[in-house]
Amino acid sequence: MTQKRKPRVLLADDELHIRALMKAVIKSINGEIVAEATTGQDAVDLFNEHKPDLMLLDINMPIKTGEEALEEVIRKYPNALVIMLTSLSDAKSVEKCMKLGAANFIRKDTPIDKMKDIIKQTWREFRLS
Amino acid sequence: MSVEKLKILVVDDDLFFRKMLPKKLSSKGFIFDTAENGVEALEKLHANPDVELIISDMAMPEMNGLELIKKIRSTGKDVPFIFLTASDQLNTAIEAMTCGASDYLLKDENILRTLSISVDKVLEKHQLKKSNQKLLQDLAAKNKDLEKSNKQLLKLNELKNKFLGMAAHDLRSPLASIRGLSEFLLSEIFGYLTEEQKEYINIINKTSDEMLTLVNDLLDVSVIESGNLDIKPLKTSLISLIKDRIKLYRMSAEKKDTRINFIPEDIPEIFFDPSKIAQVIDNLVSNSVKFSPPGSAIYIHADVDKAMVKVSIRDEGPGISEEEQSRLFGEFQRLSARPTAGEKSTGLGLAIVKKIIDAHHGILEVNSRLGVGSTFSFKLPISND
Repeated sequence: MTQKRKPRVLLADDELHIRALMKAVIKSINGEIVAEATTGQDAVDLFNEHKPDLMLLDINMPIKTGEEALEEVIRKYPNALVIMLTSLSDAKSVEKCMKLGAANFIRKDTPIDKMKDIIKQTWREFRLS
Repeated sequence: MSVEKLKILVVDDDLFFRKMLPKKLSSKGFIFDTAENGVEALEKLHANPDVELIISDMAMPEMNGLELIKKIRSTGKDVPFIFLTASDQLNTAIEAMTCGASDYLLKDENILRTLSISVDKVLEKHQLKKSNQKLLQDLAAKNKDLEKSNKQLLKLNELKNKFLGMAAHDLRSPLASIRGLSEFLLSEIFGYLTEEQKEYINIINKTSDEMLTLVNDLLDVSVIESGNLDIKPLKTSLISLIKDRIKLYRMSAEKKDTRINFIPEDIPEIFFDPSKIAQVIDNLVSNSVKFSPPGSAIYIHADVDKAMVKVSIRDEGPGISEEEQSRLFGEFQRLSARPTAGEKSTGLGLAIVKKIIDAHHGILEVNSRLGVGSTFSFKLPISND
């Protein structure tokens, strides 16, 4: 990611091991984690507070799902760059999220090199469009 | 049912016969009752419905033998009848046979002998009929039990598949995280590692990767077993797919000094599910790499075989015995050959491959000779499916 300042990333997932993994992924591509959310509501509130360059958003979260959080954030910030974090069984939700305005999605069991590629590519496409 | 308990009713207006027959046949252990005529016989029968045999005279007052048997048969009772007749009653006796009498005997000087033989025969037939009925009843009851436990087993199997799917599903992303985080540690971007730390973290990384493969295989099996194998056929190039998948294995093959040669002939594009057939190719190619000794070669060939497209993968590994070949596509089968570089095996891969090929209405074959090598081939139909 070619920016003079580090891209600011908001991480939203209710599972600790996913947050740890995505933190390492973001750091390895020179990003900065500005906040971590564990519920959909948290995700919306923290987005309002920090206005990050990128949000990684889990689909399955308590107290407001990723889908609902995405809808709210996109409504208020139509240019928000959001990548959904998904499991295999989320296929239908993923479709819906892409229609709502998510920029891309990453399956949680993707190898880390591929994860890095997806994030970098989505960032590039988004910034250039 | 013991013979001792069997009841015989003797019906004759002649007192002599009513007294003589029971006495002469008593050595067989029957229980006797007597009646003077048809009417009394009916009363006796009503009072003792377990009468096994009726020995009856033909000509009697009030109700003769023929009327008696007709009456009894009309109530649906199938109790056997032996008629004793005088020679001038033969026509009546024959008519009685058409009403379901078992036998008729002449009241001559041989009567006791003929009667004895006839009684034995009639009773034997009756016994057989009864035990047959009982057997049929038992069979019906057993069938019902079997049906019930069959239903239960199907339900349990469904539950097992569901559970397997859930467990595999939940294990997936934590395992992926362990694999990913250990990979980051090994890359040393978060700090340098001592040799020892590298060694242990490497093991964490490798083991979690192997577990992830097993979990994915289990998930595949549960999906397939529960009948949810969803084939999404597209018309596309099988050759391009094979080329792509081989790329993934070239590196691990090179590490073992094994060459992969792909020699395709011209084959048409056909309908198949690319992601599932990719799985098939991955599995077969990785197996041949796994079991290939260093310095050997793997030959992959594609051509048209009658109405099907055939892909075969030949290795120069240890080969598979006939006995093992018969077990090859079953689940959780681990055969005697060991991977030549310590690779892991879940025993599920070929079972999954078979199910995928079956779902494509294709054919999966293996040809192997111990000490020479193995050729795995799958055929897919060319016609639009």
